[in-house]
Formats: sequence, structure tokens, C-alpha cells
Amino acid sequence: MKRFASFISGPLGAIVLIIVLMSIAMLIAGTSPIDGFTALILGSLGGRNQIGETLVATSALLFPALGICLAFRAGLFNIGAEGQLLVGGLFAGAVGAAITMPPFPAIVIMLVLGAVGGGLWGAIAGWMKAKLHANEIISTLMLNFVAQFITLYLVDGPLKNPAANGAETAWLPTNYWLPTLIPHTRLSIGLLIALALAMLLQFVFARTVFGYELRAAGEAPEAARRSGVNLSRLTWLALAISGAFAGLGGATIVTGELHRFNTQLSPGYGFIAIAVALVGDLDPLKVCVASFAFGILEAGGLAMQASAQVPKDAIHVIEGLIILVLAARRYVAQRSERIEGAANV
Amino acid sequence: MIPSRGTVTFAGQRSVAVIPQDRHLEGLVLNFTIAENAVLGRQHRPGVQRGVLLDYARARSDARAIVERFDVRAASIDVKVRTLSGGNQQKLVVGRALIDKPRFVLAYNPTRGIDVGATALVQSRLVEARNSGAAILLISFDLDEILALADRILVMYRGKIAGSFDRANVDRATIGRLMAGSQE
Amino acid sequence: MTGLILTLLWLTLVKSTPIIYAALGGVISERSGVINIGLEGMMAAGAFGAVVASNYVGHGIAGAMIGLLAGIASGALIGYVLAFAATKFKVDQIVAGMGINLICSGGAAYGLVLIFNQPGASRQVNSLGNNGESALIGFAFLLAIVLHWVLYRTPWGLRVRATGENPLAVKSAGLDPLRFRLVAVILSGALAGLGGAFLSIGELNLYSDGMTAGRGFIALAAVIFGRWTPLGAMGAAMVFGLFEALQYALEGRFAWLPADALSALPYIAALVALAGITGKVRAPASDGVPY
Repeated sequence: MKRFASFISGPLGAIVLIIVLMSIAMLIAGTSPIDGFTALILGSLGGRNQIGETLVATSALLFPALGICLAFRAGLFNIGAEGQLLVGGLFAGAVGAAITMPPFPAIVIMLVLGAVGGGLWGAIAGWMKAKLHANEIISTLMLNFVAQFITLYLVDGPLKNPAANGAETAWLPTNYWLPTLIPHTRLSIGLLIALALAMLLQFVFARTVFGYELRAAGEAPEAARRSGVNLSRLTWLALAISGAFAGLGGATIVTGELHRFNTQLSPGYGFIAIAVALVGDLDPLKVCVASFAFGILEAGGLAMQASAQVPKDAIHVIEGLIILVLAARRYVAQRSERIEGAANV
Repeated sequence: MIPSRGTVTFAGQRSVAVIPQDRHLEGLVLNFTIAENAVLGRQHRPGVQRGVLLDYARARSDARAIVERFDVRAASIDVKVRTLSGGNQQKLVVGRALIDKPRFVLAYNPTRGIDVGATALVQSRLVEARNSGAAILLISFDLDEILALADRILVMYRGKIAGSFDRANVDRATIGRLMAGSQE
Repeated sequence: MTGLILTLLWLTLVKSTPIIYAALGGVISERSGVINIGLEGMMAAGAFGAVVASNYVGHGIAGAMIGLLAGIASGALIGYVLAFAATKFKVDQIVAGMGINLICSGGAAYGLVLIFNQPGASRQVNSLGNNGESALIGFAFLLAIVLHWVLYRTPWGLRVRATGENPLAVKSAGLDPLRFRLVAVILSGALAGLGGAFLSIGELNLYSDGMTAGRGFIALAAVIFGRWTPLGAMGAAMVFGLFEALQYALEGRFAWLPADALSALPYIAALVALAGITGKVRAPASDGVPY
């Protein structure tokens, strides 16, 4: 049983598990797994457009996954990436629609404000945790809903594009769009920003005092506190930066692919990113690989829905199962250390 | 060291070397390597912190020095501290507290729960530190340890100092009585 | 004005009920030492299971009654999944709970396509009707009292609470703490499932994607605000229910009030409650710690 559990929770086991589970889901839907997987692979990697869409999803998942990675490593459960993504996207979209200036500073301002927006949203939970000891899991969950309704209100009211039917901000002028990375696809250079961010995060973890203190706080908060780590400062800072990553992701979606803000910005990227971060072992470079794998699932899932009649929601069931299985590995050692502490008394 | 309230200073300096009571909860990050633990609590010291960076080369050389001088038995300095025995973990904690040649050391039950060999090594290193000029405040529940190591002994009872002696002028029975709360 | 107040009172009762059921589930689970972030998914499972059963059985109120039982069973089944993972595999409960939420919301959406051949919402099925709805509202309050009594006045309740505080002590008393956790989490799922069934076939007569709308999460806040007691959680759930009711009671009457912003009210209320109460309350000592 133990050996099975450790195989299943390894990267190879995860792939085998995904294939088996997806086959079952396809059989239930009355499709042969061969047809289903063919549709999935062709739909995600079968051509320039398909690869572009896969990488669009990869990039959209990578930003929040890196933020979640940072928070989890600090021992903080940020489950609010979805809301942080929305607020970041709203900031970028609203500002981009309002300003008039040369494209380069405009794009930089949109991205920076996106990060600021997501960061503020994360900092609310961080402040509540650091100053009031409010459970960050519940506060980040609540903030998701608050973000969803507030952004919807804003783009359906004060910030609404009068020319549009739906609830959305005005379109960005074309010179405010992030440059395209692969010609004739929707993929923007946002992907490169995400990859650079992953390398930066890896560097912060491995080389800086801040990264060292963050990892120490996540592994053993009491030892970290006794060793001079300011836990309260680290808590709000980690949640704010985590939110800023997701917010920057929202901003790149707005300037890179959507070119306006609406609340359909994310089909749950902020939640799926939790699975991505866990599959990537909370290691920034592995998280890049995991984002690509989940990008294939996201883009291929849509194609599978169209050609093999497997509903895309089946993918979410599988992603949930992956999270459930991966939960068997302990991510926040604080908990296990508390048990060991108790056992040693 | 971070006290739960107020500040601790020695000769005007905030930094005080501490050997904490519970090495698992307070002194070590069990999932960090020996090298990483060698700079725990020292991460802001000049020479360890360089700008925003942590000097991992320094952490490794400090770890090697501690492992050698304190006879920490481990396959390498890159193994997780979790895999070490309790005695080796404690030698690492003590070695880290002494590596910066502190002028003041607070040692709280430094040999609790470790084997005879490790106990002897920890005690002799504390004495060496004393001989080279460090003031050591040893807090211990082990009377034998106190009698063996201390130059001056203070007995506390219910939060108050019940007696103060030079080692040469006191015997076990007197200390035992004061520990039990009897007046002199 | 009295009309508005009466409407508000009734709506508060209606909107509180699913949160009360889920929050009672949250209390019993956390009292045994398992944080149940999966309440949201268990509610969705209950809501969906109830509609499916009612759809297959048909036959008016009898079908709806079987739907109700199916909803409870669906929640309990998902509760069993978390309970099994939490006790046998010692999983990280937060991560596992989030996984369960994805499975349930995705599974229900998948099920809509498989069973009803349409995405988004099921077809309309037999509901419990007004009497059934009222009975379930009354039952929620009764259940809170009963559960309070069980937790604080019976040996079983004492043992569950002891498991959440110090499973080692329960073990040394010769009892198996894992058994108490298993039962408590399954019960928690059943209660959340009941809350979900109330949403789908009590208040309405169909399942639609996202209909639980974070009520399982609000219930978790109610658990904390209610200091981990059934009666406290019931009171907290009513506060959050009131804010949800306010939104419905106000949005039609005052055109200038933005409906979307009003929808955020219950979540903001939960946030404020969380900010105000924590630090003053204490979770069970082993809450969230695998044994």
C-alpha cells in the first residue's frame, strides 16, 4: 500500500493515473479512449494554432501557480488566486482603457498595476492573518467571491464599455496589446514573462535571505520565529507577493489575449493552479513543466469536447482526483512537525 | 534570540547565542540540510547575509567547521537534519551557537536526552568556550551537570533566586534543599 | 414596511438553512480534528444527487423524498472519500478538500451532460414543495439543538471532542480515534449533502452549475464565528443568511442599489466576522492535524 501510494504520488505515477482516469471518463461518456486521446493530443499539439492555445493556457496557469508555490512554501494556503487574478486583470483593463501614452510605458503600467491589484487583494488576507490571526484559507476563499462580484459590478456599471452588449471594459487600443510570440496565434510574450518569473522565484528561494526565511517559516514556524524571522511581516508579504503573481497573470491575459477585461477572464485558472503547483512539487522550475502538462489538458479538453463528446468538465474531475492523490504527500511540514513534537513529549 | 517580551542585551548588544531547550521545535528546521541549519538564526549576520543574498558558500564552510569540531556524524553536510540522531542534532545546535565565538551563551538543558559521548563533547566544548572568555549562563535540571560545569551557581525557586554560591563553597545537599523551597 | 420585514425574516430563514446544515457538518468534522474544506463540494454532490434521484423516481412527493435521501447519501459518500483519505492516507486535509471540491463541481457538470444531455442546468424535477421546504427549515434548527446536546452531553460527543483535542489521549483510553474521525467526517458530508439537497429540491426544483455559490465556504466561516459549537454555528449561519436575504429583499425594491455588489454582501460579512472574532477563539488543538 505504501509503495503504491509513493508511486502514485510521483510524477510518473501521476501521468499513468491521469491516463487511466481519463480513459474511464471517456468510456463513461461512450467514447473509445483511443479516439479521445487522439482528439486531446491533436487538439493541443496538432498544429500551430493548437500549440498556441496550449501555451496560452500554460502561461495563464503558470502565474497563479508560481504565486501559490510561494505561499505554500511559506506555509500559507493561498486559495484566493482566482480572485487575485480577476482584480489584477481589472486593474490592467480599466487603466489601459483610460490612459493615453506611448505603448511601451502603457503596457508596463498595465502589468505593474495588475500586479499591484492582485497584490492588494492578497495583502488583505495577509494583513488579516498577520494582525488578526484570521485563517487565510477562509479569507482567501471569501475574497474570491468578493472579487468576482465587485469586478462584475464594476464592468457592468461604472467601467462598462457602452458599445458592448456584455459586461466588459472598453477594448484596449491595438498598440497596447502585448506583442505576439508565435505569429498567427493568440500567444503573447506573457509566456516569457511567466518563465522569467519562475526563474526569479527559483533564485529567490535558493539564494536570498528572504527566500531562506520564507522556507524556514513554512517548514518550522516556531524555529524560524526563534531564529529572528519576523513571521508577521513575512506572512503578509508572502500573501501579497503571491497575489501579485496571480494579478500579473490576470494583467497579461488582458493585455496579451483578451485585450479587454471581463469576468470570464478565467475558467478557474486560480483553482487549477493549485493542482499545477502541487504536481510541480512546489518547485518553480518543475511548476513550469506542470503548467505545460495542464495547458495540454485545458486546450486539448476543449477540442475533446468538440470532437469526441467528452465534456470538458470531466477534465476538472480528473484534476481534482490528482489533487486528492497528491495531498497524500505532506506539503506543509508545520503540521507533521507538530505531530512529531507531540509524539516526543 | 527572540524573547516573548522585551529585549535581551549583553554588553549593549542584542545578539546572544542560544542553545534552546527543544531542538526540534526551536533550534532546527528538520527538513533543511546541515548546511542550511548552520546559518539558522545567523542569517542576518554580516558575512552570512550579503545584500539581499544569503552566502551559501559561507553556510557550507561553517557547516563543515561545525561538523568537524563537534564531531557531527553525517554522510555529508547536504543531508537533511531530520536523518541525524538526536545527539548529532544537538551537537549541530551547540556548534552553531558557539561558532561566532560569542561573548555570552545562554545554554538551556544543552545535554538533555542525548547519549553519553555527545554529552561529554558538548560539555567539554562549553568549558572551552568559557576558558576562551565567554560568559555562559547554563540553565539545567541536571544537578550533576551543574556541579561539574559551573563556576557560580544560582538556585531558583518559584521564579525567585533562592541562593547564590561559588562552586567551591557549596555542596549538593544545600542546593537540593534550596531547590525544594526550604529557607536557609 | 412590515411587508419588507416579513419578507426579510422568511428569506433569512430560507437562506440560512443550507448554511446551517453545512456549518453543523463543519462543526462535527472539525471537532473530531478534520478541517472539511470539501463542504462546498459535498453540498454540490448532495444538490446534484437529489435532483438525479428525484428525476428517476418521479412520482411527486415520494420521488422528492427519495431525492432528499439520495442527496444525503451523496454527501455522505463524498464525506467518506475525505474521511478515508484523512484517516488512512493522512493527507493534507486542505489540499484534499480542494481536490474534492473540483471533483464534485466538475463531476456534477459532467453528470448534467451525461444524464440530462444539457450543460449548465438539469431539467426541472419534483421538488419537496412548500411544506417540505418549511419542514427542512425547522429541522435545521432542531438538528442544531440536538447536535449541541449530542456533542456536550453524550459519551460519544465527548469522545469526538477529545479526538479533536488530543487523539493520543483517546488512543490511550483504549479507543480508536480514527474511527471517530471517520464517522464524524461521513456525518459531516451527510449534513452538507442535506444542505445541498435543500438548495436543489427544497428551495428550487433543479440543479444548476455553481448553485452552491460558496455556501460551503461561508459555512466554514460560520463554524469559526460560532466558536466550533453547533448552536454558535447556527447563529453565525443566520447572520450570513440575513445578509444574503438582504440582497434579495433590497435589490428589487431599490433600483439604485447595484445587484452585483449586493451579491458580495454575505462574503464580506463572513470576512468581517472572521476578522473580528479570530484571536478571541480557539480551534480544537488537533484540528487539521493528521493522526
